[in-house]
Amino acid sequence: MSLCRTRLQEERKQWRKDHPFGFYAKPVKAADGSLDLTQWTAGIPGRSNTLWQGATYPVTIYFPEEYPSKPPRVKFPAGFYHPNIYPSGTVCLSILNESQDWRPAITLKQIVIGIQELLDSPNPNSPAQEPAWKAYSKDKAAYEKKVREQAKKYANAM
Amino acid sequence: MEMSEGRSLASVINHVERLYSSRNPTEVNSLQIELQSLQKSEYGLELANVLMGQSSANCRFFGALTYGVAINIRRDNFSSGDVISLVNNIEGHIFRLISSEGLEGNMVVIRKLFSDLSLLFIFHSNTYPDPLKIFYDNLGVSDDAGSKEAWITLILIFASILVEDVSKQENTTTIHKVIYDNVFLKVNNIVTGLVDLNVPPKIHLLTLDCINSWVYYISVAEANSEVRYDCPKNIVNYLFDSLTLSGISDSSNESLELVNKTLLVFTEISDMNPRMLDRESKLRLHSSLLEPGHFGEEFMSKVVFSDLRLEYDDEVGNFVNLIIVFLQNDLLNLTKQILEQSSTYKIKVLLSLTNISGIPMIDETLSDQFLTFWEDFINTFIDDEESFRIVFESEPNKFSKFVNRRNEVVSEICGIYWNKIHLPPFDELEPVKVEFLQYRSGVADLFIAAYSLISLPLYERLTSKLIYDTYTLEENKNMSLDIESTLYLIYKITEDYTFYDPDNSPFGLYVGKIFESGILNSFGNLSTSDNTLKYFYFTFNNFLASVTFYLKGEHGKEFLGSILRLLIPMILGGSTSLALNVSKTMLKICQECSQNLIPFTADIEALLVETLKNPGVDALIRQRLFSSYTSIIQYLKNPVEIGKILFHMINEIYNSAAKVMSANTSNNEELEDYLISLISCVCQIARACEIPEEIDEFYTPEEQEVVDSYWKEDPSNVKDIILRIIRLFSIDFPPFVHNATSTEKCCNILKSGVREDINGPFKFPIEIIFDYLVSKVEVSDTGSIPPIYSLVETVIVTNYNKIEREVLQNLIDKVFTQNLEALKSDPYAIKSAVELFAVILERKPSLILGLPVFQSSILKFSLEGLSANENFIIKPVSRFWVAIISLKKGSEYDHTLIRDLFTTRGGGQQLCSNLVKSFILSARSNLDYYYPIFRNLLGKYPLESKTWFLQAFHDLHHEKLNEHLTSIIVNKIMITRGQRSAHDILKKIWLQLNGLIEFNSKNF
Repeated sequence: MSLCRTRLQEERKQWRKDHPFGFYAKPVKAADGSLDLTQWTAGIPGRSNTLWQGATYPVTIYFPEEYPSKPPRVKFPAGFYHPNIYPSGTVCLSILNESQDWRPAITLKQIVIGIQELLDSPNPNSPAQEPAWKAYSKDKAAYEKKVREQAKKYANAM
Repeated sequence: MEMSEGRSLASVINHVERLYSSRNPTEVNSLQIELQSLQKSEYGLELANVLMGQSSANCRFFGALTYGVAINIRRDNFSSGDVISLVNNIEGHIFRLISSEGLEGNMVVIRKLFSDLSLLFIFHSNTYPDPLKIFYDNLGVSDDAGSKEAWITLILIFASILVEDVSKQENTTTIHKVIYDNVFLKVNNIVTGLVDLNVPPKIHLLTLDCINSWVYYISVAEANSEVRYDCPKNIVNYLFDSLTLSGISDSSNESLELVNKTLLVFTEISDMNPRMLDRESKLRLHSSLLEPGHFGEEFMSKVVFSDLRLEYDDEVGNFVNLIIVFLQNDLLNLTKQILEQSSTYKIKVLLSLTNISGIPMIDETLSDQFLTFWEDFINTFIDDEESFRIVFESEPNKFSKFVNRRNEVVSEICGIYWNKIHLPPFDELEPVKVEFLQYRSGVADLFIAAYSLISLPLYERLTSKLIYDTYTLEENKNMSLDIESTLYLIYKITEDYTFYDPDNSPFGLYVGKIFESGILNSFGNLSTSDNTLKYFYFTFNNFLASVTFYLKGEHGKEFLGSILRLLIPMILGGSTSLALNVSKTMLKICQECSQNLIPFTADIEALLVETLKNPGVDALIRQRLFSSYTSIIQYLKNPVEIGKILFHMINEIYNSAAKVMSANTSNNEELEDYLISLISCVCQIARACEIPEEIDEFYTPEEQEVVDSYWKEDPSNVKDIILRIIRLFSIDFPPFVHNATSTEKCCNILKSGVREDINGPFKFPIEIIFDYLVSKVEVSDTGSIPPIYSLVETVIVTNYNKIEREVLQNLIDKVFTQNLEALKSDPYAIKSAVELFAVILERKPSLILGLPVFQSSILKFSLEGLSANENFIIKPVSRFWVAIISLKKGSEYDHTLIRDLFTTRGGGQQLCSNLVKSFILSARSNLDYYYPIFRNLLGKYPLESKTWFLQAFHDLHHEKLNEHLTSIIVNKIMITRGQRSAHDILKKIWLQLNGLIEFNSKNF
């Protein structure tokens, strides 16, 4: 079994055993019905008392063959409004960047918590999209309004 | 006594006392600095010794701390004699403390002194290899040693602290052997001896704490050395002896502290280091916990299933936790043995514990503890299915019995949790809502796993119960909570399955039965404003969203009308959160079942009118409804009918907006939100009008022809009303002229049809789009530039072959040249402009290369962009220059033009000089954006670029560069010939000229 697969099985086991409150993460099923461990669908809940609360934001996590030597790629739906999310939805975060802070020991749990943290604490040094970045740096009120509108779109089912 | 530099002992004592009493942070900080310098000085040990002799507790504590600091600093300078003398000195203090004031009052200081001894052991285990023995021996000869009980207490505490401190250290490979050979033996002997001694419970509690420290330590020692403890029999036996309920009767309220601690230690062992239990001990623990007539059975009858449960909540939780952790270590065996007689009792016990009475998260948490266990239990059957087949390969009958028993157990588990997730009364639920809903989500995951094993019979069981309960709903409204929990599980399983395989759902038959049972009528009679039904409606709504696969089919479509009639009042009369949730479901149903919803457009129209006129309706709901409605009417496919409806719809929006605008000439936030929501609705309509799939799959060739010619003429004037509303929102209404959001929406409306293959309601001729843009730019500020440029970009990307140069020139004059100075003041406008030019150069360079404005302004503008600080500008600037150098889509004429510009008119030199200068001055994180320009220049102009680069580096007038060095640098760059290796060379040059070093490099 490849290192990537072994590690992903362990991640799945650990996730089932202990995952942060309000999050979900599961591998998608391949065409033949088996689980494709290299692609996961997950939900990141907005932290309480922030603009992002009350919603769970969907992401897809793609693990490359070289994982855990290389980091996974995490994508929100295209057009997701956040200064550090590219228009394609890809997350720009140092722990997901091989040449920055990625380390093979970083777990799925740490990744999703890192993304949850990023939602309400954008990194001013890594703008990834213009609309959110511009509003965040120049017009906070407009930014907050947009984030709240987005939260309604992904509002929790209950 | 003089300490140093004139500080007297009295002043040090005074400092220590102030340190622990002052509330002034500045004073504390300065005291800390001063005292720390004393602790670290050559007088550190002396100071510690003196302070330990004081009567003040503060001084003694600081003295004990000072020993630790001094030992850490001077540890390499100690001789063997120093170590022994220090050990005696510290132990002497411990004995004196016990003798003068007893154990209790000085425990904090004694613990710190034990840590100091541990430090000496860690650094000098050769000289001081057996701290426990030395302590014990000295204790024996000391006059101050206190009672026997105090002796045992001290040794147990020391034995704990010693291994806890060693566990915190790194690189301790060799010390583990010393501990095993010396210290462990003593601990083992003490624990063994205690069995026969009549010591009070507090000593036993201390012993269990000590064992707990050793359990963790042993896992550290075994991971970092070759030492193996295997199963320390005496210690394990001591634990078994402690697992007794001998002091407790049914009505007793005596503490279960000893049992509780023993359970925790066994859990720690099972979790951290199960190897500490050999086979025999594991069997013994198994019997104790899970066989009749042993501790577990007694504990359950006397505590878990008695009135004492609430009182001993922690103990019960720890008992269950131990069972779970213990069994999880060997789940495969547990699952393999389900047919065996011995498993029947065990599974019964586990199920009884799971099924403990009470509402989860309110009255009990055991079922929550068991959730992950059961999910793992079920997943073992799924993941190891092949192993089970092999086990029963020669006994097919037994395998079938095995599968039946497996399904029986899994069904029982499901049955328990099915009951558990019934919503409690509203008032009880609210305080624990988040936890309870999370619990339910865990139960849903369990059911999803169980479905993988039991498959459709599980689904059938749920749907049959739902139908049965629905029949009784009219007589008994309380049934709604039973129905809700079943509906919740059906929705979760359905959603999960359809998420993975939306087109092949096996649930159609069962979902059909649910609808046929009259569920919609029964639910329609319930009130949406009843608080207790709040969750019921959410679940019902989510269920509907999960069964669109059925509703879009032949059988399902007959229920669509009733569903809409149920959902619409929820949007109008429910809470905002319910209305939002319902609007999402409605959108999904309308998008997926659009064809079948055509007969119901009148119902939705009425809803649209209501939401349009009522500014209080949430903007997202309004937009979703317009999108829903448009998704349906698109399937009319008849452009005449669609045209009429679209005109009517957009005209209504126009009138509503115009009415509000004429009554309010100034802006306020509420008004702005409402108006933006209206133009967003047009955006949603435009998006929903996009042909949803391949055009040939949506329209026949004949239909395509009819649609195309209809929209070319547009007899229903839809395009006219669209342009009017766009004008109204972005040009005519003064408060919105500089509203970037409104402009963005208007541009998006025009953008939506640009890519369509045939004419449609939102596809406009390029000239009309450009005319609008010219008018818009005349009244815009720079904030509106990005969406305007983005629209131009989309038009060019899709229509570059149809655009005339003159038309583009006119547009660029208006949107770029005439606004040049304003553009330069806004980095986002610069970015948008450069991006647009890069796109044109990549698609059809001749469109702009020949324009006068290209050489007069665009090139200069993009040259200046090279030195921008913002990476979002440098990125498109790089794209622009790469496009102009490579000219991939350029004609021969374009190539000649640019080559001439670069080689004979100084353009190449100018670019190189700006590039080199900007690159050297740029931030490290932006370097990657410049590399492609260098590489393309080197590749395209290999001969000329050497001269350009030499001149460019020379023009830097950099203090670290001379002619010779410049020549070396340029040669290195040239050798790369524009290959990838250029990145490393350029990076090194950047580092060198900026006097910096490479991260992760050892060359510094």
